[in-house]
Amino acid sequence: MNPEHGLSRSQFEILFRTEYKGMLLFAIHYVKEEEAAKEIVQEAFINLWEKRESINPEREVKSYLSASVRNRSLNYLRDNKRFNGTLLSLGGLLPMPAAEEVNTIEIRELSGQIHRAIEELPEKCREVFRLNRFEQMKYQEIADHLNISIKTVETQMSKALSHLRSRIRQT
Amino acid sequence: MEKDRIYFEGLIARYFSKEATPAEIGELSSWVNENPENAAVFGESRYAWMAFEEVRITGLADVDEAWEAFKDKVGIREETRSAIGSQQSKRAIPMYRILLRIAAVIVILAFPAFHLYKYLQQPAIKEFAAGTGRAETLLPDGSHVMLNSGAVIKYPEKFKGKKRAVSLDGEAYFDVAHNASKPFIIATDGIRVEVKGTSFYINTRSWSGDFELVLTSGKVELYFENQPGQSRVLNPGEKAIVHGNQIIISPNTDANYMAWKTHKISFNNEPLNSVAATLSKVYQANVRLGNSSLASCRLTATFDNQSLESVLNVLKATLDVDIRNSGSLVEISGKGCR
Repeated sequence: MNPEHGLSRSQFEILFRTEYKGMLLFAIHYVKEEEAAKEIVQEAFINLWEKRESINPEREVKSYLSASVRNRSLNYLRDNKRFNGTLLSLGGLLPMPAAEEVNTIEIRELSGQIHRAIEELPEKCREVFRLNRFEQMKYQEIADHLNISIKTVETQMSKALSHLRSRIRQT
Repeated sequence: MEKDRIYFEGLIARYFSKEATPAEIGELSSWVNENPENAAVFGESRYAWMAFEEVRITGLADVDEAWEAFKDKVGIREETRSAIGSQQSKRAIPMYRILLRIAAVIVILAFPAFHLYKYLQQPAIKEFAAGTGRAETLLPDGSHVMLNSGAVIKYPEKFKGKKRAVSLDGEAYFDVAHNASKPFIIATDGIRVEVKGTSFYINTRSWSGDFELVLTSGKVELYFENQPGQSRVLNPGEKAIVHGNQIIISPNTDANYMAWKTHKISFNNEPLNSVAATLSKVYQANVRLGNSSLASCRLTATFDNQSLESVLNVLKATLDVDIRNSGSLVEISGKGCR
């Protein structure tokens, strides 16, 4: 195989492993559903695999991949007009906003903003938030686990969300 | 009203964490539909919560599993793992297969090693972040940077080559050391600022989401990363806003653009809503108007390095307004001015 063109099997694996999560976040941001997003990203990689022999590994791969994920995501939204993803069944109170166009840099930035915002939370607040979001514990379970009142759990969760809201602004 | 706000912020968090009862969801729903401000609080909370969930779910995704699923789908077989391979493994392994495996190992290892080598060749990149307050630092060329809270600058340990390139996310004031033969370049998403010994204010993510730059002295060129030939030149006292793919240059009318750095604020017949916005920014506070008719009040005053508390006292005394400061929220209330 000409080394200037095309991706070898091992190059492809490296690409897959380094780009997978970024692409997944990109897709989830559009479609709001984990399973659908995983399928979209897999399809985009399959499509790339089929073209691996003709593609310039240095330049085109990433933009090709992200364009492919974006188009597939938008197609998915067009074909599945209901907009209440299983990721968060948060319909009801206000209509979901329409999908905004984002690029992979914005997505990487968003991810950085979120990590920074979480780091900025006071320790106790972060711990409560972590138990709720990562350990999937209910407020009462968190209160029992940390030996604090459920009221304190509520306050800390509210604080965490307010901080996230102040840091993560939709542009 | 403020009590309300705290209650509903708590309820919003409970709603998203699926702790709210149906009755509470009903209550939240009518609060959200009560007025646009409430709807905005809810909408912003939802955006932040969902963005967090997106990042969380992505972080938990299993790349190994995804790779296995991908291989199954496209039919890549790894010979060592295939059924035939394991049946044959008791036999002597033919020489060509040993060679193949060694070659494969070299290819896979060689790639990361190559990148690591290239990476080590480059000067180390330093990162300086302001955290929750202001922070200042000197760059390797002697240029001075003051960052506002939340801003991050990345720069090489040493400026090698023909340019001095740094990247910025957030709000900062630069005083760049003069070196005509080595232009100083600030990179943000897609936008480049090229500097020739100068001082200026820059904000890569202003409240409106636009990129902003105000030039104090010297000369600055501004261009898009992908159109380096089409640069716009800024003169002192001018302000550039990058909105989408447009660069808009106008005289700077915001007297307080540097107040976050100097804590010197002057208002000249300024409407109260814009006063609140300036104070929020300068003091990293959340200053809001209790009702929109207050925006008709105007303030003329100068403050030099005063605490938020004393600025608020001046507002109270001059405008006949009430101010409640709970720490996280400063609410100005009153009837408004004529």
